[in-house]
Amino acid sequence: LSIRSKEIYSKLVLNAKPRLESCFSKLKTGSFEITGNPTRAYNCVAWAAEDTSQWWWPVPPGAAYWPDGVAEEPTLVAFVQAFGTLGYVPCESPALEPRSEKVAIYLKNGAPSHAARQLPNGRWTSKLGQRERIEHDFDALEGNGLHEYGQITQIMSMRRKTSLSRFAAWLKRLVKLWRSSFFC
Amino acid sequence: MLVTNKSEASSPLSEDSFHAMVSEWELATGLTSDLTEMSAHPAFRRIVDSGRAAIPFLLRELKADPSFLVLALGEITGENPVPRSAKGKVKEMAKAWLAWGERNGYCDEAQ
Repeated sequence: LSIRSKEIYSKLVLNAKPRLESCFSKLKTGSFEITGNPTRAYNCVAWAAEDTSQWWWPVPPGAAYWPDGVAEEPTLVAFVQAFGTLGYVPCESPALEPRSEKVAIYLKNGAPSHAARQLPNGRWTSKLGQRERIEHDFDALEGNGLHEYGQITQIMSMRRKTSLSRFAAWLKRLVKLWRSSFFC
Repeated sequence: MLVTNKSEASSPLSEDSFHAMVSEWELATGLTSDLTEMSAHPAFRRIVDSGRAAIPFLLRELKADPSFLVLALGEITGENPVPRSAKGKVKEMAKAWLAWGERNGYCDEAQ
């Protein structure tokens, strides 16, 4: 990192908890833990999709990863389709179900702003843009403040993955990556 | 030959003012995943509006600390040297732009 970047990084890492509390009002009243350091390698949607290799976002077209065949537009429909490529389907309840994995899609001013994933303990995990990864209460990132993510508008669920299905998904991603590199 | 979709008349840009704009942009947009929001931020727009004068600064910055400032290079030059397989991988995107910089004679300036 450059000296300037180190200075910014220090500012961000030091006192990260109070800084995040000042950005997300509900974090002050609930409990949350920082579970990962800031990184630009992946973002909230990627983390919700369990992909730490790349940034997922539909626009501007071509700037980040977005699943093939899904509309490159910042709409709830496109985000539902994107998670649909992983096997998620829309559902009503954010309650913990032992055999289901769930994601929550946030909308702010009518456009997707964030995605979070439910953990097996019932709490939720989020990657905050380029910043930290946290474990938090369901609605802890809601709000209309400058940095807050608006409202949770869609919950999606899929059958919880087994170790074998996780390996198969990883293999599938690897093959896809190899094919896109090969044909480029 | 360098192709640009921005005005050739670049405003004067110092290293200090460039770093001030980058710092402002990073601090303001660090919590968002939305690349459109990042590239719409006023500090990012000022970097793009600096035109080709910003290119050496951008390349130097990306070499030290890869980030979505790569999007500014795309807007300034109108080019896209990032291979499809590198989309969304910030380090690889920065690497593609650094190679572009070398091909286009910015390697000395970006040291």
